[in-house]
Amino acid sequence: MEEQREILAAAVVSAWASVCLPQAEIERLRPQPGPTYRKPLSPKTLRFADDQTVAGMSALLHAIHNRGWHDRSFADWGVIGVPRFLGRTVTASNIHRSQADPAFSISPHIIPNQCLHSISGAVSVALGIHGPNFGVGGGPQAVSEGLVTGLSVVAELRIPGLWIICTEFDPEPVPEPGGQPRNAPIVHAAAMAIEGSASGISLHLYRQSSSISHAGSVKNLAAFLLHPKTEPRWQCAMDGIGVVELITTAQ
Amino acid sequence: MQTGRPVWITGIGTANPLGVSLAETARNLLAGRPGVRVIDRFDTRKHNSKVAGLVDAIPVPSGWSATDFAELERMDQLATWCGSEALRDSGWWDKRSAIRIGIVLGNGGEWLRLWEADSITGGNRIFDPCQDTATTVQNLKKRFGLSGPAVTVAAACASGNYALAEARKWIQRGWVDVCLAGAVDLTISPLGLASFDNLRALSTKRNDTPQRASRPFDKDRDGFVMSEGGVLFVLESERSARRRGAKGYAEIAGFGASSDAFHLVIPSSDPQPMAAAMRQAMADAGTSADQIDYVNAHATSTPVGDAGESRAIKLALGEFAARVPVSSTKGMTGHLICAAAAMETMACIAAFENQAIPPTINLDELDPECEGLCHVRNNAIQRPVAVALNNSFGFGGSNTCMVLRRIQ
Repeated sequence: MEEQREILAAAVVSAWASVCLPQAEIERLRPQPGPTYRKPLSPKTLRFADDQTVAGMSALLHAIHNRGWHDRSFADWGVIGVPRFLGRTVTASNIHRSQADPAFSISPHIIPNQCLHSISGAVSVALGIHGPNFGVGGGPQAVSEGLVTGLSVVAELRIPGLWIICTEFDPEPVPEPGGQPRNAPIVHAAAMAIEGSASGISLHLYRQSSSISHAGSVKNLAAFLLHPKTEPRWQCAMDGIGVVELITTAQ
Repeated sequence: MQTGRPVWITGIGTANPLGVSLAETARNLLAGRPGVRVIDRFDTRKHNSKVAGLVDAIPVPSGWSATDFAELERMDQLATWCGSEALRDSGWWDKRSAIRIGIVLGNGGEWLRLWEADSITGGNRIFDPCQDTATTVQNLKKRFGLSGPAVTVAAACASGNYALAEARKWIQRGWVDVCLAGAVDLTISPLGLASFDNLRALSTKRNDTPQRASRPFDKDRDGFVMSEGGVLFVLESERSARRRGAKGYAEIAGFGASSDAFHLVIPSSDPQPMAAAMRQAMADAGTSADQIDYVNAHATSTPVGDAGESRAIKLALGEFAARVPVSSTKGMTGHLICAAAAMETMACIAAFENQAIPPTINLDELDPECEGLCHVRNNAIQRPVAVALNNSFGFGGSNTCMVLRRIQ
C-alpha cells in the first residue's frame, strides 16, 4: 500500500538529455559542445567557461536536438544552473599563481565564469533567454535544491518554460597546485526543459515523511535520463519538504 | 495552493560596513556617512584598487561563547550572526523548533572564497575534495536546528532579490511557515580584489580618498568599490505576523526578473530587459509608476552600468521618472556583491522607518547620461515613503527588481 503523499508542485520534463564526459575531452568540445541550435556558437561563448558549463551546454544542445526544437525560440523562458563545486581546478591554478604575483596574474574570468550564476548566465547568452537566470545549489545537496527551485519557478507560470542544467564531477578533480588534475575526473551533466503542461516525464514534489534520504546526484539523474523507460522512476529527498520524483509516463 | 498571500519582513539581522543592526545602518545611511576605507587586511601594494567597505569583527551572537564562535569559518560566522539576530528580532528564535523554518541564502562564490581562505591559512581543502561536505546554508540549517528546506541561490549582485522572491513563494505556497532569506558575501580577499580589478570594474582613482571613491551617477566615477557583509530577513505571512502581533518592517509586494542575453559581464546597451524587470515587479505588486515613492538604484558607480540603469528607469517609470526620488546607497556602503540586493532592501526599510530617503553621496557633478531622474544628491530628504523599488542587476545579464511596501 502506497504511503499517503501530498503533491506540493508538479510539472513536466518535456525535453531532456544527459552527458558523461572525461574532463580531458572538454577542450575538444568547447567551441561547439553539441548539435547546432539555430547557428553555431560564437568561439567566444565558452572560451573561458568552466568545464561544468561546457558539459551543461552539451547536455542542453543534445536535449534541444533530441526533441527536434531546432527552430524553437526560448526567448521568454528562464534558466537555472545547478553545479556542484564549480571552479576547483581553475581556482587552484589561480591560488598557485597568486603566490608569485598576487594581482596581475589572476584571471579576470573567475567571477563571471566560476561562480554559482555562471552556467545560467552562459546559457542565457547562448540561447537568447530573456527570462530569469540564476544559479542554485553549488554543494552536495545541489540536485534536490535545483529541482525544488525549478518547480517553484515554473509553478508561478509567468514563463512558458524553464531549463534546468545540473552538473557535477564524479569523481571530483584532485588538482595539482597548478590546477591540472592528478586523477581522471568525469563530468556529468543533465539538461531538462520544464513546462507546466506538455508530454514527457512527470516531475513532482511531494510532502512525505519518507525513508528516502539521499539528496540525489547528477550522475544517477543523468543515468535515468539516458534510459528513462528502463527505470521508470527516479527520486531524491529534499530535506525539510519531502521527495522530488521523476516518473516516466506513457506518451 | 495559497498563492498571493501578502508576505511580510518581520526580522532583520545584519553586519555590514555601516553597522551591525538596522538602526545603526539607517543612521549612517541617512547621515550620508560612507563606510569605505583603505584595505588593511592584506597587502594591496600590487593591486590597482586599494579601498573597500570592510566588516572588521562579526559580533558574537547571544548564547555563544566567543571561543566557540571564533572557531567557525568566517562565512559561517556572518550567516550565524545575521540569522540569529533576524530570528531574535522577529520573536521566532526561542520557538524555532516548533515551526517549519526554511532558508534561502544568496551566496554566489562560496567555494572559491572558502578554498582561498583555507589556502591562506595553510589548508589544503581545494586539493582534497573529501573536506567539502556542506554549504553555508546547510551548516546554518543544522546549527539552528531548523526543520524546513534550505537552498542557496545566486545571480551575482542580484542574488539577494532572488533569495527573497523564492522565500516569498515558499510561504505563499505553504511549503514553510517562516523563512530566513537574504544574502551574505565576503569577497574582499587578494583573489577577489585582483579578479575584479583585472576586469577593470573597480575604482582606482581615489585610493587616497577612499570615502570619495564610490560615486554613483557622478560624471567622474571610475568603477565600483568592493564591500562585504550580509543581511538576513525573517519572512512570514501577514496573517501569521498579525496573529502574534509582530512588527512588520515591509511587505515584499512584487518581484520581477529578466535577462539581457547579451554578455556575461557587460550590461546590454538596450534598456528594455532592465525596464521589463521593473515593470514585472510593479505589475506583481499591483502598483504603478505614479505610486512609487523611492527607487533604490543598483548604480554601482561604473560608467556603463549607471548610464544604462538611468535609461531603464526612465523607460519603466515614463513621465514619473523625473519625479520619483532615486538614490544609490552604494556611495556609502560600496558594493556588497552578492549581498548588495539584501543590503539595499534594508536601505528601503530604513527609508520606511524614518520616512526619509538616503542620498547618493559624492554626486558632485551629474553625468549627463544619467540626467532625467529625480536624484537625491548628497543629503537625505524627509518625505513620505510607502512604496519602494529595489533594482539589482548582476553578472550573467541578470536583472531583478523588488517592490517593497511599508506596513501602515
